[in-house]
Amino acid sequence: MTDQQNLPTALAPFTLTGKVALITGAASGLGKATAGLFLDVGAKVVIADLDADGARATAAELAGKGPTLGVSMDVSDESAVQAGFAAAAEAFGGVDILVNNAAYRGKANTMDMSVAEWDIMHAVCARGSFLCLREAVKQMRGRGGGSIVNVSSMSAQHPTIFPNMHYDSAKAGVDAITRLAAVEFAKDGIRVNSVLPGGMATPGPDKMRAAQAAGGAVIAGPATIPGRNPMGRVADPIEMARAILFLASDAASYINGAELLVDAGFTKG
Amino acid sequence: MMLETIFGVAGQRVLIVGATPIGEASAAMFGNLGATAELADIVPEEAAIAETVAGFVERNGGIDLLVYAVTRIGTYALPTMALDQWDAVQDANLRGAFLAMRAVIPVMRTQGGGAIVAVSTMGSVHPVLKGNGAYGASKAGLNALVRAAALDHAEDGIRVNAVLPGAVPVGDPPADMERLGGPATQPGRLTLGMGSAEDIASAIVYLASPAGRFITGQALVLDGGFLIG
Repeated sequence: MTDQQNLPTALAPFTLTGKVALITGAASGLGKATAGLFLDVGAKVVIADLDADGARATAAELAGKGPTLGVSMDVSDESAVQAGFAAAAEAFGGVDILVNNAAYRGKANTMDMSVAEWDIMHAVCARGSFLCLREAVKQMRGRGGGSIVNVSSMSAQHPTIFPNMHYDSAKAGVDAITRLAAVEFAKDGIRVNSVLPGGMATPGPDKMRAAQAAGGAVIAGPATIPGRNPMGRVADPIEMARAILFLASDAASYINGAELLVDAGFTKG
Repeated sequence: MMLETIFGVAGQRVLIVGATPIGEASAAMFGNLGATAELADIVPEEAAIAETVAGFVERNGGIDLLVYAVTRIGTYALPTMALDQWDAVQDANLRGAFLAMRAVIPVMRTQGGGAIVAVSTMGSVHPVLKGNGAYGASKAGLNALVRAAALDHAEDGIRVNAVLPGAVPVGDPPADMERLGGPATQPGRLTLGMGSAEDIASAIVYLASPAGRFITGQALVLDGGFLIG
């Protein structure tokens, strides 16, 4: 009886009731799973994606769960980011939560990687996280604070596959952004944390395997060792989305600058 | 000549406690490099350590380097590990290191400085083989002891560091990797294959040499790349 009475109150910090969240790369994969979960717990969600049609389609698909807005956003483009955040403010008054999820997933062997490939990776992952963070902070300052979750990767801390040097470098940069911003904007009531996913069953890895089959970069490295993953399976995106939700929510109100590994223990194995 | 001014350890008075493969390799290497190296094959109890250190200092007029190489592995399943088994591992690897440091630090402080290198293990920072709870915990404690001693005695001119061997036979007999199982037994995990006791001794020489004079409180991993695999 007591438990039943206390349950809703105790769980309230884990919800996002009334909060406005902007999620980049949200038309598919982890971003989409996160958007659905956020809507389930009461948020209004701006679904931003480079794929404008995909953003609108996902926003429409999820609209039954709660208020959504699909916006076109190339996170590496300053004016596109500014326009996307302006649209979010116009629709919902401003953002309380930013999930920097958009990533470039191209693979390239280290010894023949083009400079353009290196640059686009950093433009999307590092520059994109910075640009979105900057716009989010502007809006959050006017709303009494907020929470930013940067989606990094376990490969920012530990080698996983070889044709990924540009990705690992960019994601390590994202974690540096997390640490610095956590300190710089704490006074504004803004928390900044990273989630570091391990392998996930999303379109990204499928594209990677397809690219290899088509003569692209060869996938090799520690993550391809049989038995290397202690739990022996890749993650469902919802398992990452829940970690993102936790850090985004008030349940994590004293967690700032953290790097949360959600990797089945890969980095400890 | 140039190399001698950088890496030379000739004339250093080196006490190595623990006749493990790494202890023996270190004694041989320091000896070959012109140091006065003595290897103490003792059970690291209070009286034996005090006696060993006092004898060494009396014979050599001081001590420039202590290498604490005692390593008791002891692989036990946690639910059935006897308290005696747990204690024996902690006593050899951690309590003994404390006793040895306590014995040499006053001598080093009086003579104006010195260096201590403790042989820890990569397993103190990352799981390597199953059944190493007592061993890993004792060596992780050793790492903390090293950091604390380095902080406390920097002002005495005493540098204190740890080496963390991995993929190297550290015990006598060495751990039966295949029987134990664990991350290190996965194919391809030992990036450079198995290392040797000499690989670790070389690092101890480096830490003891002039090249190491700005290094203290560190845990130097020598694992053939396991940790990044």
